Order: sequence, then structure tokens, then C-alpha cells
Amino acid sequence: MKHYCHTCLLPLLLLLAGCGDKQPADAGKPAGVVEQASVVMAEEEGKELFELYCIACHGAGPGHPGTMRLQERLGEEKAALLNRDELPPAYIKTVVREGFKLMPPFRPTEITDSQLDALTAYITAGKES
Amino acid sequence: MVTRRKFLKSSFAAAGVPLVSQAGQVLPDGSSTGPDEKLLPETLSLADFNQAIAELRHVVGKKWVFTDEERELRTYRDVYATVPDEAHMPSAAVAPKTVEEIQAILKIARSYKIPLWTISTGKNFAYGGPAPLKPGNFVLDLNRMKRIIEVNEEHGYAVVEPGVSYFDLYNYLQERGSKLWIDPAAPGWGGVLGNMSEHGAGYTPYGDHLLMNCGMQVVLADGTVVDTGMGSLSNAATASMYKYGCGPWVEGMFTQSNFGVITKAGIWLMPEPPGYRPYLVTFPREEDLYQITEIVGPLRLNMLIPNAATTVGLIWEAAPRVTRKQYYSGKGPMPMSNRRKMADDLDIGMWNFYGALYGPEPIMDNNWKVLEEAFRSIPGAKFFFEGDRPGDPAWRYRVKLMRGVPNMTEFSLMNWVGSGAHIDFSPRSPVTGEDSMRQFTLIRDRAHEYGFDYIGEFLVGWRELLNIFQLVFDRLNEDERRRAHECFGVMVNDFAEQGYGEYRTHLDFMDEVAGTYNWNDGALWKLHHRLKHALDPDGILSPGKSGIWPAA
Ligand SMILES: Cc1cc2nc3c(=O)[nH]c(=O)nc-3n(C[C@H](O)[C@H](O)[C@H](O)COP(=O)(O)OP(=O)(O)OC[C@H]3O[C@@H](n4cnc5c(N)ncnc54)[C@H](O)[C@@H]3O)c2cc1C
Ligand code: HEC
Repeated sequence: MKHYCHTCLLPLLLLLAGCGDKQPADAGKPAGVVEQASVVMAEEEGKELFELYCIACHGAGPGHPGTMRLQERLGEEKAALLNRDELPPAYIKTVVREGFKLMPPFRPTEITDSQLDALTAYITAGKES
Repeated sequence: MVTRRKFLKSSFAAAGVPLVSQAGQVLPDGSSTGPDEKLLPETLSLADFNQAIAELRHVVGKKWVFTDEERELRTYRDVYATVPDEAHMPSAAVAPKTVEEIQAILKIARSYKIPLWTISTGKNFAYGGPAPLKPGNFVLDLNRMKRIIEVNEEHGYAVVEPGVSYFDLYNYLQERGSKLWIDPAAPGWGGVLGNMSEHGAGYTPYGDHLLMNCGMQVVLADGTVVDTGMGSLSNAATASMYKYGCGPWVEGMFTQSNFGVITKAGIWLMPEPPGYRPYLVTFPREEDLYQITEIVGPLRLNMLIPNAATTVGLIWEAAPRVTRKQYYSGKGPMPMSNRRKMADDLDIGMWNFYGALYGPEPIMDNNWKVLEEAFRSIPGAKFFFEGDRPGDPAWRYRVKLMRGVPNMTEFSLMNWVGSGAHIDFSPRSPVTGEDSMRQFTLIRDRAHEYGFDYIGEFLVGWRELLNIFQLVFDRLNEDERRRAHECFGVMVNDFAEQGYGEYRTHLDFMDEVAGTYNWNDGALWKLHHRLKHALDPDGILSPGKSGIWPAA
């Protein structure tokens, strides 16, 4: 059984975030060979989820608290989440379920595990916002 | 091995925060809950817990009962609390989809005496988020109930289930080309029903959400389903059009309470007006609040200002654009000279009044003449309209809120201290210059005394002045967390002494705030308790909500 708590996990999150740019370029891509059609469907679902749950804080430009904070911490280029195709999927999933400082966690009744897969695939697909 | 519990215990002790046992009792230092004990509601054995979980899974499906403390249940934390997560950690969560499932869950809860903490969208941050008051409670999470049951374009209302967020309803109306507006609270992810049940507020002329509620469906603890008001007619024709039905009006009883589970609510929606003209007036001095309030009061009362007129403090207005570090790197509250510099740089005031005109052009033109003349009487007042503040996110989100477009910009306020947390202190007073200044100076001075900046705004609901003070703190800084907690408690007392009550409060202060409503030996809360014990004799619904507890 793994044991951790929010306060001791945070430094880990920060660390992971800080070295995000050192990940290999394809670290964020879903593993394995997936059917083209289901990729497209998952991406569409991912996009919808992103627009419903994330974009209000992580959209590009001013007025987005997530973007504002990431810009302060990581700089302009890494401010908008959709420019972050280097983020490892596991990291995104952890942030969504654990929260990250002012970003509260998302419950499985809001985003199910399989939806989280789709959402993560969408973010890491490297779309420009 | 350091178990999670042991680790937490040591980190709490370091934070000076008392550890709470599985029975919800504060443990003395050095006491133990046993190695890796499963968090449980008091009065429930592990065997019963497991049995109840099996039964709940049978009702809603395995997928919708959550017991994993490491992953699933951690998503129910209140990440903005001044106390550690564990003070409000549930032992399970269950997420029904239908009223019938809720009835079956209540039956199980009654037979095992399981406390169920009801949430809808569960975004009650600043007041507790999705977390239960007592550790070990189960969360009854209604977020899967997402049906928009009816939208009536002609009569201007919607009927929604608990899981419908402002974003959901807004998108639904937009997709259908509806000409109805919604009235979101500042967090667009909040829920139409959940926010209304907390007496929440928005910024269009329909900003008083409970006032705009019309008809409810409630499931009582014994499983009885009640439709209120006109909805209780067998062939109800006006369930969402006339609020009061015949006989006692009971809706209010199910809000900010634990007397039932609301499963449906009607909400009036404002028809899009022929014109909308938002404006901002900035004022250079802190003392101007007196005059602003004196001016706004009567204008709001006679509805020349038809929406929740909001006078926003300097830092609140600045925070969507800049952070504290950019203007001050010292400890404690930011000094006035730095604040002035920031106000000048951003072209904002010590106070910033947001309002809007709604209606046909000639009416807006005429009303504006009256408003402009009134505000001009304050020296240094500056006026801004659409187009005057390009690229200013503070202006932009207010313009959205006052016309019912949901967004999340206000969370930027927590970036003031670098992605912090906050709890809201929200007292109400009469709408007079004197009361506004008294509220403001009381809060500002206390905030400063405890080392925090004053981040506040004043809303004139109608006949009352609501001050929202966002106590923003860095949750990772244990000293700051403790100071925030202490500061809040002191303010509750300060305000009670002035006869000002909070309209709503955070989980950790519910008993304390309830205790200030103490006239005639606490007669009102005694009444609440009589109702509670009659309607929910097993005490299963949201124990402690608003300081209302099951019988001992
Ligand atoms: C930055 C920021 C800005 C904010 N601005 C505003 C604002 O402008 N206006 C405002 O009103 N609030 C504001 N809040 C406070 C809060 O976040 C919102 O009120 C939010 O809408 C509440 O969460 P919710 O709608 O998801 O309701 P929920 O969390 O679902 O419900 C809130 C509470 O109501 C009760 N409840 C919920 N559903 C039921 C039910 N079905 N039956 C019985 N009881 C139930 C429960 O006690 C629950 O804890 C703000 C918070 C933050 C962090
Ligand atoms: C309430 C606003 C808010 C919402 C909604 C939100 N976030 Fe965040 N998120 C933030 C903030 C703020 C940060 C930065 C925290 C910090 O660095 O202090 C962040 C950080 C992140 C990070 C870490 C980025 C990095 O480089 O370290 C990820 C990944 C992330 N969010 C994903 C998401 C996803 C996916 C969603 C939607 C499901 C989402 N967020 C919704 C506010 C939000």
C-alpha cells in the first residue's frame, strides 16, 4: 500500500513540473498502437472535457488563473496548457486528481478515469490553443 | 514503516492543529488511532462499513461507490481549508443518478446509521468545497444528476437537477439559441442548485438566487419525495411560475440545512434585455467608501441600479492582472504607498464600483444621467465603459458576470500570494456609509493585525450590504494557515458584537457562527434542532451543517 499526503506530494509535483521540459518529446504520447478511429473519438471527447473543465482556468491569454500562475512560474511559453505537449500523461492525471495549490482536484463523478485518459491524450497531442 | 496516518499525525502536530480521531473527537497529543486504521463514521464498525458498501454498490453500481482513500476520496478534500485535509476527510462517497437510487441509499444509511454529507456540483470552495464537516462521513455526491429537465423560453425559467453547473446550463441555452440569461456566481463551475441552496449570489438583476428559486423537489430522510409549492398539485401548471403555493412556504427550510436532499429546483431566468451597458467608476481614496455606499443605497433600493452593485477593493481589482510580489516583497500587509503605486499603474481606484444598465436605449440613457451626476459628486471619480479598458481581465470578467456569462477569472485572486487558498468571511449590514466604513475598517484592521492584506468587496443585494472578505493565505505555510484560522474566528466575534451576522460560513466555523444567532436563548437554533430531530430522527443527513446536529 502506498502512503502519501497532499503536503508531501506537492514538492514532488513541483519537481515534476520543473523538469517537464527535460522529458523526451514523446513522453506524453499514449503508449501502444491504438486504432485511428478511437484516437479521434478520444480526442474529441478530450477536447470537450478540456473546454468544460479546464479552459476557463487554462485558456491562453489574460483572465485565466491557471495560465497566469504558470506564466509567473514557468514563463510565457509554458503558460497555456495546450502548448504543453511535453507534460507526461501520468503527471497530468496526478494533478487532476490531487489538485495543485489553487487548482482543486476533480472528483471521479466529474471526470471518470476513462475520461481522464481522453483528456490527457488531448492535452498531450500538442494542439495549439 | 511510516503509515499515512502516522505521517499525517506528525505533520499536524508540527502545524499545531489538533488531530481528529475516527470518532470525530480531538485527540490529545501522542494518542493513537491505531496503525493504519480505516477512517469510519462514529458508531459504524468495520464489518458494518463493508456490508453497507456492498449494499450501496448494489444500488448504484460498483463504479459509483468510492472507498479508496489514496486516490478517489482525496478528490473530496477541501483544499482551501485552514485545517489539514484529514479534519474533513470522508470514509466513502456514493454517487446516485436517480431519485429512486437516493431513496435506496437513504434506506441503507438509516439502517446502519451512516451520516451522509450531501453535495451537488460540490464546488463550495471558500466555504468547504465538497468535503463533509466531520471526518468519516460518507459523501452523497449528486453530480451525476445532470438533467436539465425543462427550459421554458416563454415564461423564463429552467428546472434542473443537482449536477447542472453554470457552464452546463449556459452551454445548453447557447446551443439552442435561447434568449434567456443565467445568473452565475463568480465560479462558473458552481451549480445552479447547490449555489442557490447556499443562498449564493450572482451579478445580474437576478443575482439573489434563492429569491429566483421557484419550486423544489426534496427527498426526506425517510425516503418520502416532496414537490413543494404549486408543484404539489397533481397536475401542476405553475410549479415554476408561482413561488408560494398555498400553506406554509417550506423551500427555505431545505437550504443551508440538513433536513432533506434537494433533487430538483426551478430557477427563474432573465430574458435578454434589449440593451446592456456595463460601467466602472473608480474612486481614489479608502474613505470614499462612505459616500459610495450612501449614493448606491437609494439607487439600488429604487432599482435605478438593478443588479448586485459591487464596490470592489483595490487588491481584488488588481489581482487578475498582477501579483503581490510585483509591488511588495516585505512581510505583512502591503503598505499604502505601494498600494497607491499599484492603483496608479493599473489605472484603478482604492474602490471600484461595477454596475450595469439594462433595457431599451432611452431608458439606459436617462438612468445614466442620474447615476453619473450622483457619482460625480465624489472628487476624483473616473468613469469607464465598454472599449475603455482593453486587455484588462478584471473589467472583462465583471462584464461577463453582469450579463450572465460564466467564467473562472476570480480564482486569480489566489495568485496574489502565488497560488494560495482562501476562505470567505461574509457579514451583512445595513446599507449606510457609516456601516460600510465600520465593516471595512474592522476587517481591514484585523486582517492587517494578523499579517494579511485586505481583499474585499461590498455588494448591495437590495436592502443590505454584503461584505465579502477573501482571506487569502498560503496553505503550505503552516504559520499563515494558523493565523488565517485565528483571524477568522476573531472576526466572527467582532461582527456579532456589532449586530452583523454572517450569511453563510465555512465548515470550520459553522457552530461558531450559529452560536452568534443567539437571541432569546438561541430560540431559532432550538427550532432548527426540533425540526431536525422530527424529520431526520436517525441523524443521517449532513450532521453539523449550519450548526445543526442530530440528537446526541
Ligand atoms: C474565487 C471564488 C469566488 C466565489 N464567488 C462566489 C460568488 O460570486 N457567489 C457565491 O454565491 N459564491 C461564491 N463563491 C463560493 C462558492 O464557491 C460558490 O457559492 C459555489 O457555487 C458553491 O458550490 P456549488 O455551487 O458547487 O454547490 P455545492 O458544493 O454542490 O453545494 C453547496 C452546499 O449546499 C448544500 N447542498 C448542496 N446540494 C444539496 C442538495 N441537493 N440538498 C441539500 N443540500 C445541498 C451542501 O451543504 C453543500 O455543501 C466563491 C468561491 C471562490 C473560491
Ligand atoms: C480553478 C482554476 C483551475 C482549473 C479549473 C484547472 N486548473 Fe490546472 N492549474 C491551475 C493552476 C493555478 C495551476 C498552477 C498551480 C501552481 O503552479 O501554483 C494549475 C496547474 C495545472 C497543471 C500543472 C502544470 C505544470 O506545468 O506543472 C496541470 C497538468 C493542470 N493544471 C491540468 C488541469 C486540467 C487537465 C484541468 C481540467 C480538468 C485543470 N487543470 C483545471 C488552475 C486550474
